[in-house]
Amino acid sequence: MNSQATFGKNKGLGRRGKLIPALVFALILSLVPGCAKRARLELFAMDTYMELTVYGNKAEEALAGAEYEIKDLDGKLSATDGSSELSRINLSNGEPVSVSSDTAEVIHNALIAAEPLRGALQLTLRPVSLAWGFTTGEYRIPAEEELEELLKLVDDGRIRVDVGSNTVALPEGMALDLGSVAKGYSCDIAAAILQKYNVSGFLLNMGSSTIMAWGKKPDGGRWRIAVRDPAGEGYAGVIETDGACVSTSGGRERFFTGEDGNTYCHILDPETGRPVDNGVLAVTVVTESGLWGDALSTALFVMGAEKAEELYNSADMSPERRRFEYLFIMEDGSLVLSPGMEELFTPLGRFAEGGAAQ
Amino acid sequence: MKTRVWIVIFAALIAVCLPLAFILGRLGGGHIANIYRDGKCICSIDLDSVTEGYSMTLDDGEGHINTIRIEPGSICVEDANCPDRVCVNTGRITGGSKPIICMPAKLVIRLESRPAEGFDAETGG
Repeated sequence: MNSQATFGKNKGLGRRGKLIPALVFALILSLVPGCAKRARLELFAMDTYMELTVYGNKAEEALAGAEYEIKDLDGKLSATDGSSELSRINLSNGEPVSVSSDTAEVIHNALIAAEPLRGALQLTLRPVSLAWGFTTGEYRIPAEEELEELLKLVDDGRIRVDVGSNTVALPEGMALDLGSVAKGYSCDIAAAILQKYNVSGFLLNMGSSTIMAWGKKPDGGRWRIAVRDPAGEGYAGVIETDGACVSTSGGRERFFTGEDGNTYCHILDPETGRPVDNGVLAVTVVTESGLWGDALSTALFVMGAEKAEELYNSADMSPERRRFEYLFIMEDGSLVLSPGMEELFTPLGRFAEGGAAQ
Repeated sequence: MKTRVWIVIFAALIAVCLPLAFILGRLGGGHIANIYRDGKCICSIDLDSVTEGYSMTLDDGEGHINTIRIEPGSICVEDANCPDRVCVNTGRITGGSKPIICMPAKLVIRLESRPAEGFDAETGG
């Protein structure tokens, strides 16, 4: 006789009698984390180290599909690999170049994302970045005259992308770098593949600057993404979400110290051609899309907290169009949060003490 | 089955599972530094058993050299000949899920313990 039959025939159990077995089973289930099948992958791609974790019955198959796509995009979008599609564009001397739909789409989508960002995100900054040595590691401080000349080559309005014929044309001398959006775009593509396999949840850590959490965690809780304290070893706080992309831009991991003793971060202000130095240590944004999140975190880092607030409240940024929340960690130790971020973010450590948030 | 039997089972489960969860939680707080080269673990160090700091040099045979500094409870790359020196700039790690990464050398140094807060990932830039 099975237990279900026993329950059915035992009239003496009543409501309480049924509740207790249910509680026992619930307890057992809660103590067995990860009933969903889990697949995990670590890989070096897009000049970073990625960790992908997927839950679901077809987790391994789904992950293999995502891995293939990320590696494929890495091959196409690399600015340093001379055989990539991006390099062919950069070496085209102004001639239109036929590319894959992926490459045309990422450039097209990045340009659309950059439209409301008031020039703070420019894909054509590569000549300036090269002059500083950020792509080669041969760091130097370019002279003002040199920067002025190079800035003439920075103008995303002169990129021609045709997503119908998959061609890209770039004026001679100009060069693209998709480093600010490639990981986010790859994240979106990988997420779409994983969702097609009906996985129950995933966490795509594309090198800590771009993280996408989606679906259900095996323990049923919310995803918890810690935000590093850029000025210390601990955490500034934790973002809790049911599913979102979390992107961070900061200047404390990629920088160099010049002969003048000053430190120069790798994110450049497209207006001046110089590394950003505006009192912002790092900015984290929460969005639905990886590409939008990456584009936005870079642009907000350049713009600073005040202009970010203006952007947040502007008509271009209506929730229906481009939803985002932001968190600034400032050099003076303060935090600047958008209203929605206050609900997602819990400060920790030195930020939890004394109400640092503004 | 009698109600009291279920109560006994329920109490027994709590009695067994709570101490187990506590012990497992404590075990997770250890500091094992694993060093990976191209995804393969090449060295494992129990940082809690280190009493005096020391350095070691890792050479991948292709010109990438990283000097690792091990101290009680922490680890860092103190010098490297990679151009971007991101691994050196990452600094010392003592916990959390933030790894030290050297892309040119395909080197990853990770503390396998997870922080008590139970984060799923860390973001930073």
